[in-house]
Amino acid sequence: MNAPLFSIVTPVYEPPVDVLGDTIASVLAQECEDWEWILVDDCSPTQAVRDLIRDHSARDPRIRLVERETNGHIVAASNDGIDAARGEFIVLLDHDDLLTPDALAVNAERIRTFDDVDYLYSDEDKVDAEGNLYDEFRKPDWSPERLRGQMYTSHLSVMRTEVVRRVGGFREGYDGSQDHDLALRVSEVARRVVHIPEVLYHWRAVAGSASADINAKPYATIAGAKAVQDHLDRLGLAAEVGQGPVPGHYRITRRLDPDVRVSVVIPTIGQSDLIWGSRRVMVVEAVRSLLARTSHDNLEVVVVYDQPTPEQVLRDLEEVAGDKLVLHRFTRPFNYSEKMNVGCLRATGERLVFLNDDVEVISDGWLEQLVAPLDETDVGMTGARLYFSDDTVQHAGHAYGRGHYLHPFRDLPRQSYGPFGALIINREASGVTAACAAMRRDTFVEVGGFCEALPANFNDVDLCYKVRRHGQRIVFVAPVELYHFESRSRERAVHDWERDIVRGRWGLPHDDPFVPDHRRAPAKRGQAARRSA
Amino acid sequence: MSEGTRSEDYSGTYYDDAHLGGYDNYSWDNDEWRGFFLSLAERVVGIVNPRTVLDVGCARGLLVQAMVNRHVDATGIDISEHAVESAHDDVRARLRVASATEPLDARYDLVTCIEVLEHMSPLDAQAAIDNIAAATDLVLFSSSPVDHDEATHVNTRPTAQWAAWFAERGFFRRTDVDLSFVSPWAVLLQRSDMTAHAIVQRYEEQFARVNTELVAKRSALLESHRRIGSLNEQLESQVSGKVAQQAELVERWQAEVLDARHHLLTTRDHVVGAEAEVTRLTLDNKKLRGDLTRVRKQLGNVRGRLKQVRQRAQTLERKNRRLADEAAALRSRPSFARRAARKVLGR
Repeated sequence: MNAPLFSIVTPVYEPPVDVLGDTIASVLAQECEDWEWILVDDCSPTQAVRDLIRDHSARDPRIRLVERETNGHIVAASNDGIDAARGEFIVLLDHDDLLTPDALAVNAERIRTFDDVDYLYSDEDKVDAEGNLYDEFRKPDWSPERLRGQMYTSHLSVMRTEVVRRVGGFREGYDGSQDHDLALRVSEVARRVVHIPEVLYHWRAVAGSASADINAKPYATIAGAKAVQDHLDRLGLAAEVGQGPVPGHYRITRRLDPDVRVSVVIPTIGQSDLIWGSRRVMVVEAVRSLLARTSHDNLEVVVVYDQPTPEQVLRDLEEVAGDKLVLHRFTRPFNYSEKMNVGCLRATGERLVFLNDDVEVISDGWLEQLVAPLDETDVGMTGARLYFSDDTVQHAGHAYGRGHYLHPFRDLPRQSYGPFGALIINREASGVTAACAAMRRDTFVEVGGFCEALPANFNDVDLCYKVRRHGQRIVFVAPVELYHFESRSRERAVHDWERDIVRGRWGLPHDDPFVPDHRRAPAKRGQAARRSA
Repeated sequence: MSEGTRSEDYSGTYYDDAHLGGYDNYSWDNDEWRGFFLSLAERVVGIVNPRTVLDVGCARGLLVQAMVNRHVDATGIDISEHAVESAHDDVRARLRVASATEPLDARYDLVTCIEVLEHMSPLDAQAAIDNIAAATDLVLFSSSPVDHDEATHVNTRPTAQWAAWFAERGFFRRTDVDLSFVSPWAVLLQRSDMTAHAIVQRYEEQFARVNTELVAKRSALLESHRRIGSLNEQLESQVSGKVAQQAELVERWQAEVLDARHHLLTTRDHVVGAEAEVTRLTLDNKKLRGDLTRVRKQLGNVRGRLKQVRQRAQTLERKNRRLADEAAALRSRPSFARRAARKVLGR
């Protein structure tokens, strides 16, 4: 018998027998038949569990039961399965979950398309006791930063067997987050990671299981933080991992080398506005708060001001920023892109921070957290979490889809975690607003800065497209919070010719790779699964 | 009262290493030293033309030998046995070991005492002056007022002090003689019965000369200072003008560089944008070609069907025509009943 393409590995410990039956049925229903299934029984007390598997094994030689002599828990049982695997890829299936009938077929198709793929993950939803499907998680395309914030690849994970063995399989000491730990280690060496944007897995929400309530397993989040910390240490990234506001979500706090020179570039015309009932000169308060909320000293603040800027505003800026201030007078007609380009060319830092003058920094260490991710050479740009003055979300990363350039999380309350934690973890995004963003200087120059044919709108969208075309990631940094006093009622006029320039370069946006459209109709496969309950 | 020096202080080391140039060459056989003393002797002979000379503190007797060379009956005394013993053969007999604190045995036309009294204790020095004054009316005197760091200089004094001590003994400076070829502080002192009037006149002459020179030099200095000041000012204004010019130039260049970099940046944007547009158009083109192929295929199918339909239509049309003809033929020949009816009705 030739080695199969897939080795499904399932550690088994005391599942309800009927639930296990559903799981078995979902595997037997696979359209792709090129698989073997290794079920590792970890000394389940109920004999009927083993009997059921043996029964199927007797009828289908592809099903193999490995019986452990001692209870070794999830890591040992899973590793036994990996040891026994003969297939080219390992498919991780839990003993109470369900595969869609095309799960293996779709994976096989992607493996044929990308012969260098080492790791495939797909979308998932949950199935309750009645067989109802809910909580569909439409995942982003490969997002290494997001995997540090949460185990988002989860189910269904398909990994090249040789790679799993090379990194040493599952590790003891990471129980409850052993899959996260393995995904991190596999992703570090994977030549290619492929996301399949289809639900191929129904995760059973049984009371006490991780899918229903991660609070049931507090040890899991401790192990998870440890796994992420190990990962960052292996990559040599100076950062500390802490628990996020929701279990299973991790907060990455990076350290910025004090020798890195940072230039904050702010365009202004020195206007005043009414904020929370009192009048303020926007740019002065922006600079005051940005300096107050950072302890990074190797810093300059380049203010590019239009001629009508009152002299007093410039004097106030000098008082607030002292020798960190660089003033650049802009004498040409208003063009945001040109102002920023000139400011960035005047700047002397290796890192550039774009900042609107109508912001106020909220979080301490904002500059450090915004800039430090750029130490990873494939990160070209970072962005922040911005709120309107009424504490609703103004920006948490762009999404380019359905023909539009969108702020997908706009108007959510400040306290919201966002769908699947999107607002509380760092993650890759198609773009970020230039109202507060940071870039590597070399990237900025190589992609040609802001497009001056776009003087008012979409210049940041175009820049983000360019950064990604340049092969670099854009990272939304959740802990960097600012107020952006952009008026909600005063929408800026957007002209068709502006959209046409962006579309002319990059085409009409269809599906955003990082924020999939949640309004898509549920897949038909969901119906099929309901039958099994 | 400070101590004087002794004979042992002037051993071989004094001559060889520490002093008198420190090159171990203080002897008649050295061309430079011999030349120096011969010329010195010649000048002294030229000024005072003595018949007899005593050199007090004569060391190795180089001056004595030089004087003898100029036909002067010269002798010398020194407290250093080493010096006298190591003197040149031709002169040793004219030298003897003795201290100037002891009375000198005879009178001389000239007593020379060069760089000696600063080595003696103040009391001994006074005794030596007494002894010299008793032995002559003319003294060539030199005593270094400086070189305080030389170990054996135990009694350095300004020349004015020595001159005053000699004046006590009736010796006054010959201001008409310049002995700077001996040392900067060398003086010729002569016993003379001078009135205060004469002394004052002699010194005032010197003072006036020096004062005139001083005033002239002061005004020259002031002039130079002013000139330097104005030149400095000129230079500075020229330099600062140049600097300002350069700074302006640098600023302009910086602006030009910024412009050029800006131009480069926007050009890059154009290139990146154009590349993106080409990529998009290529994809659109590919998609449109795919669509075109599909539509063409559909068109082929439709045409095929159209042909079939047309053929059927033609067949049906033919059939239709035949039936119409038949119908017309039938219509053109009225039925039997109609014909009968027409007859009956008479139409």
